[in-house]
Amino acid sequence: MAIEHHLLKHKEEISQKWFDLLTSIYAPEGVRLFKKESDEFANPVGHAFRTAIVEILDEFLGENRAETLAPLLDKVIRVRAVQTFSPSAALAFVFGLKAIAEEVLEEELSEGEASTGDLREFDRKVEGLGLLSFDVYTGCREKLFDIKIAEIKRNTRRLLERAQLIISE
Amino acid sequence: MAKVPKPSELELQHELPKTEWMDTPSVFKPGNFSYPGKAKNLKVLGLANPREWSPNDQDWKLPADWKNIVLEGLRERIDKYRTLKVFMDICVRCGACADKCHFYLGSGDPKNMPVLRAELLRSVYRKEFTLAGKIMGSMVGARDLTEDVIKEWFMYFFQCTECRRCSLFCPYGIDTAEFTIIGRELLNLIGCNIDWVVGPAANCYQTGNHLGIQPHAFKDMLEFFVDEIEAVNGIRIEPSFNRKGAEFLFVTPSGDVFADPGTYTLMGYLMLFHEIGLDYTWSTYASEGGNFGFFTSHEMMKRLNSKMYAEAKRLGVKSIIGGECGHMWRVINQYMDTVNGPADFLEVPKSPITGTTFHNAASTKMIHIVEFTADLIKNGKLKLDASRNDHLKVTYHDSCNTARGMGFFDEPRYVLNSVCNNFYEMPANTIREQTFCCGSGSGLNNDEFMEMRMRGGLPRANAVRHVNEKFGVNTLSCICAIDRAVLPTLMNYWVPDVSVYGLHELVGNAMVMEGETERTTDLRGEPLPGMEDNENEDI
Repeated sequence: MAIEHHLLKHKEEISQKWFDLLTSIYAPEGVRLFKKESDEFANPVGHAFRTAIVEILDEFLGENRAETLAPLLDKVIRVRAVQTFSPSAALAFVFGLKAIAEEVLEEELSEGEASTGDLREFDRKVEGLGLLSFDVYTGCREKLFDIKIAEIKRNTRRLLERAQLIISE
Repeated sequence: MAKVPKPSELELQHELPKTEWMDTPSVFKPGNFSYPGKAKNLKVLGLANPREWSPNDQDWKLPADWKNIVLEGLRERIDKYRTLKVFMDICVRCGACADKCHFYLGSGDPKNMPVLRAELLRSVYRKEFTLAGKIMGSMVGARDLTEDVIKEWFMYFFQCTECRRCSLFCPYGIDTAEFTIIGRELLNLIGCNIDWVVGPAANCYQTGNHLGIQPHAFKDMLEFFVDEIEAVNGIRIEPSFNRKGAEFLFVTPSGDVFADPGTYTLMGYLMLFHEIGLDYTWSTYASEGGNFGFFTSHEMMKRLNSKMYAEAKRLGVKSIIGGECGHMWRVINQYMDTVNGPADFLEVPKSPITGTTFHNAASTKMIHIVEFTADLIKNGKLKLDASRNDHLKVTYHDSCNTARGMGFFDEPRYVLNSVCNNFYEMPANTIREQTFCCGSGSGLNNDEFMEMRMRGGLPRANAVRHVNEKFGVNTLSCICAIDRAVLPTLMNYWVPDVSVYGLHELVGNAMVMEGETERTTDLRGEPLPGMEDNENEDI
């Protein structure tokens, strides 16, 4: 828990850096939009990212329960899953947390309050978060294919029913 | 063996090129474009350059003199449309429109900013039609028309739903949808269109509706709904088809004839007209309210729109009532009068039940069913039991075309508040004239475009999620057939607890009809509030 204790002290800085990393994949105009507009409805993506990041960090540096983290990760990943990114590009931000942690703990590491062993332990924890992100991402993509099929079914069900090719319930 | 990249390398790899927009080519990937128009559909409509091709191909098989065709087409339209001529020059690039587009909000792609989308066309205009552009080129935002520019136009004019939210915020009143409309027209001159637009337009041209439903199948489906209504409330409705001398012709989108949940909305129409004893007829020829010609060219829009008026003339009706549709109303309200009107052979619509004359339709002679129903309710002509919709917590999506295209805000809300007890508005900057598009309008509601649709619909879904979490809203109502087709999919991805209903389905649920048997279910066969036990007994 020691390293989480130190990281929590830097939560604001970590959130900012993580948000920057998360949005670095977009064109500069898009980044400006995601960063500047605070109205939730005028900037749904930026707002979702900003709020979700803080919630994810709170849970990840606290209890770290998969069942709580999954819906929080979903807030970010559900958006990334429909932005034509490759899966690796969509999820790279999760692994970026390792470098951010090392960066913000520079002082603690140099003064011996945190060790490289602690960091390695933290990296493994981030990898766990990465694995959970794969599950969430895959779930979103599967949903995307499911809804395509559901839409086609909805558009043709009546026809098939009328042609007596299927029997309604 | 490939080296596994470090996370920091991944970040670098996935950053977008920081090139200027003119130097950033369009990359077509599955999910970000719609399939091109099939040659057979282009032939039916008499459109240029029918061929098999794909946006993924290097060679788009454009006609040999494609550049000349496009530039002459642009010249002709600048001369013809004063708005276009003005819009070309007056934009000061203030950026007020930039963050108002749902596609831009969902993607962050700068070419989805309305100002930049218009620049795609303006840059060519400057180069070819202005002295400064000819001399100074890119320094004044001018560029040559190349095949890459055509590809960029195809990508981004088919990533705009013509919803016109951006135009609301422009201090000069520039309507970016007009750029998209003209951009698509120019692309059509060289055979670049999408099949989800030209397919329905060709069907409508040949058989009278987008889905290509033939007269006997159309009649058959409506009779099927008659059976379903009888099973719900014991009342047998007898609609008439192609009946000469009826007072009204009723025209609605064909999507409601086959696709759920629009089918339930159509049952609502049937029930309402039966209850008030309206003298009206359906037509199996003018069997489409929607107008996908509008997404092809002005000329095609005119052709498809004329069909319902020709049928009204043939049948000798007095006026036309139109169902819950989006772009049908944009065409009627903004274009019909000058392209096909005035419809002098018809009469100004007058409700035979209340005596109200709809002077707002003095020229088109066609009224929206929601204003017709609102008038019935206002005059106490319908017996309604709103508690039958108590299992639904309802919000309302203003369809872009009825809201921004015809200023239709209060009539649907009046009807909703009369037939439901639980109505909750979404936040103010997401409704009425500021409404967010469903993300799938203007012919983009195809399944290959699903990723774009989901990100374009995110701002709308985000507002629905807000009322879902705050008030427990489980119902999204709307008055547009494309909305009814696409919002269930959007909700399924972003807010799965919410179902989509047409307004007249809710009217059909609440309406207490003369001689009905005890109602235990709504039109979907779900038990009405307090009737859940009956349902169990049946099982």
